[in-house]
Amino acid sequence: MACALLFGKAMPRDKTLPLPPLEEIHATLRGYIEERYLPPGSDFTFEDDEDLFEAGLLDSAGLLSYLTFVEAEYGLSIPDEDLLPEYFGSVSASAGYVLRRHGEHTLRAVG
Amino acid sequence: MKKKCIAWDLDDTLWDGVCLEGEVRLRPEALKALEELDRRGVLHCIASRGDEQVALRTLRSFDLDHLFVAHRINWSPKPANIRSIATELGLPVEAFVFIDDDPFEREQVEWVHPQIGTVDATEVSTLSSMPSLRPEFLTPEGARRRELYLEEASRCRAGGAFATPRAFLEGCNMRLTVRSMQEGDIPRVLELMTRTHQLNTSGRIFDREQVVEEQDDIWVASLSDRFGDYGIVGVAVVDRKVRFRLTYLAVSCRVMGRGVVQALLATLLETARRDGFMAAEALVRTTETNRAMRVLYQMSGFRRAEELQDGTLLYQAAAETFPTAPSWLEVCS
Repeated sequence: MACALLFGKAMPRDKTLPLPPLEEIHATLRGYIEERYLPPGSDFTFEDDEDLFEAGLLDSAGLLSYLTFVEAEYGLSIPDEDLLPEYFGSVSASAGYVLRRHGEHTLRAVG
Repeated sequence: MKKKCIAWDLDDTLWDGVCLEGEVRLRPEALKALEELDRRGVLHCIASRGDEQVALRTLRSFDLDHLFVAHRINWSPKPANIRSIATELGLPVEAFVFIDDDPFEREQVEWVHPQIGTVDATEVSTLSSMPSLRPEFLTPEGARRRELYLEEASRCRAGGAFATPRAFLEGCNMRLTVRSMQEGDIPRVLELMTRTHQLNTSGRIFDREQVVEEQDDIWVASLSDRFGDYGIVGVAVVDRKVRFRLTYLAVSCRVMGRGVVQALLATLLETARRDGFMAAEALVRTTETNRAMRVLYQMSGFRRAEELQDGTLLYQAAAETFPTAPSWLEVCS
């Protein structure tokens, strides 16, 4: 029992499923940040295009955890040159990035 | 509320030292508390920063792994890790006591979970006499602890008044002092260079002679906040001979999550701008653990320009794109 608890891990999303709609990606990414960086029942809300650094939600180490989550959740590997504020500065930016990367992948697979 | 589970930090709490950096020594008083509470049926779990595999290996070497029913050993903030453990164990977060040597970690956990109990690692031996962990009877000592509990509860309520993450950070009154290294800083600088892996742009190990030799190029950053003085938490080496080139940047993982690295970088670049440099360069030697530093440079206006012969990456940024320090850190330079 102790061992199962000690090594128990959440199941990652099934990568063979199609990418969820954009709103759902937004909700997932928001949920990740809210769960980790906000008190439960907090009145604080942030916009999907809110600057996550300015808001004090992420710093470079926090962003690293966030990137690792995005990579695992959507089966992506994010190259250094894509680490830009315009891709990861906000929830909507990163959702757009996921969608675009997934599109490229699908096109390649089809082509 | 009776407490049912203790959430332990590992480095400098359960043991003295940092297990990623070499040998650690189990704290006898921590072991005593661990075993005593275990006998009473109190659960133990781990909420710690660091490398999971290394930490578990260290735990096993002390033959303690069987005492913990759950663990989160990673670089995520501790409030989230504790909530995740609570969900896993089916316990309310209020049934937890969190023990850690770092006042920032404790305060952040309290801010997110006002009902949780937190304990400073130096107080580990008081754990077994805490009323909420002693269900059978109350001693006079136990009655006094209840008062402390109430005081703590009111302090937690004050912590919960922060409306936003930024307000919490602003309320910490963080002050970062950036200055040239002095002779007396050398031992701490060497220590920081040797111990810092995650927030380190280079794997380079300096010895004392090299530090003395490059003395004029070395900058140090020290941090204080309303919880106390952390001393020197960051080191940078800047070569300004021909161009402004940041050859080394390291910040203690202890102060992660507060924007200290960004603030130090912004402050150094501000000196470059002041001295008329129109651009800056930075070197990064990729190691297994320092992706956060490449993230930092990329997100701070730097772009990879080339890979040098020895594999070192050269980044460049124009003065117009230099970053600014986070607003909640007061920078003195």
